[in-house]
Amino acid sequence: MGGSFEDAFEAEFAALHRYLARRLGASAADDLAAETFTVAFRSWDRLDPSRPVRPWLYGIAANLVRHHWRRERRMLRAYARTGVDSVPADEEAAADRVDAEVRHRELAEALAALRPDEREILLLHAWADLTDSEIAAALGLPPGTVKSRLSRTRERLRNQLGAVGQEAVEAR
Amino acid sequence: MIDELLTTFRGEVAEPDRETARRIYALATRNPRSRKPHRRVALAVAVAALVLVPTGVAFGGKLASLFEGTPAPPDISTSFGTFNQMADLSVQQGFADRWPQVDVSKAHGVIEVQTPDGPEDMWAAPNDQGGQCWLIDFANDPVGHDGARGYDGGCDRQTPSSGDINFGDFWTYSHPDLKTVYGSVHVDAATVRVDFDDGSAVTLPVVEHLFLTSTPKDLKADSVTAFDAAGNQVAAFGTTHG
Repeated sequence: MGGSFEDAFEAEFAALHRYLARRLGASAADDLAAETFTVAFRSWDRLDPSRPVRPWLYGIAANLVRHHWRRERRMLRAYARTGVDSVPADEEAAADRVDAEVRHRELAEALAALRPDEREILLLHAWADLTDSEIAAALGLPPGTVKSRLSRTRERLRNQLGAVGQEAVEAR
Repeated sequence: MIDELLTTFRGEVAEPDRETARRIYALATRNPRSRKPHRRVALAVAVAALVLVPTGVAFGGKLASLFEGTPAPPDISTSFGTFNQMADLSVQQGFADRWPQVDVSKAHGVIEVQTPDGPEDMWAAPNDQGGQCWLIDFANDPVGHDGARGYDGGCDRQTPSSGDINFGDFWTYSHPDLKTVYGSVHVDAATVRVDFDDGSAVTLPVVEHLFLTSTPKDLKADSVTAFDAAGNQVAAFGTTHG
């Protein structure tokens, strides 16, 4: 890890906050990011400086997000059902969002149906851009377990979104 | 196709602005007023408790509650104090929810478990929203640079929106072979059974609505089921329960 807490905050805060905001909305992201970096700051000088900080931070965040599983699932299901996503978006993106809405509502339903640990691994991969080994470090799992769960989750999503996926392919 | 869909789903969510970054940095790095040393007070108090309270409650062949009620040493109180400073700042800086204020004077030990790296402790104190705040630390670890202790903590409110059971796990680089599994139960429960992803399970006492255990790092807790004193299931939560 090597650097200062300030360096780590500068390097990781924005992306981590955005990851949390995509999952639970900007307001919850403020709280969860603050809690994540508070825990990190408190433990900073007890950490192994040779270890990467990124997976550790996302591990803290994942643990906090875990307390909001039901809320996240409710938000995803509400979006799937109503087409109104409670995660705020900027106006410029509205047109694109309408275009993608059907597919995204299907995806929201599929994400809501995932087991929480499957959703965690998938979204750390897709939204936080963590590698399999970084996810393994973040969640304290063997890398092989992450790899197999990610593969299984993607397969489940593919099956659930089959019809939607076919539409997307044909539209190209 | 999956990747494209995932990338575009909520892809318009923006990164936070500099002002948000500034206030969260200020919140996270807020130092307590004073730097308090160490742990010996806690150990002395714990030893005194062992002497003065010879009848610990037996649970599963192990003494489970001798630690319960141990007054928090200064560094733990300092840690709970940082919760309050965060709560104050969160109000000042416009966070959406008012964070609970901890009654630091009532901070006390709840559960101590033995790990290969020494005792791991869960401390708790009531908060002003009808719930409690808790903090977990390894007893033999040094105090952090901010004078506080603890690897993980949080607060409950009287009516938690997230259900009858909350649980989480964490590990730290300081204890790379261990994982801490902890949680809270918001119904009357005497024990919880934690089921892990390898098919194993462990039953733990619920003390002041909290539970704590330490496992090998590769284990992942899948679900928690709570039971009353008669052994009846009273709540369940996790990947197998939804």
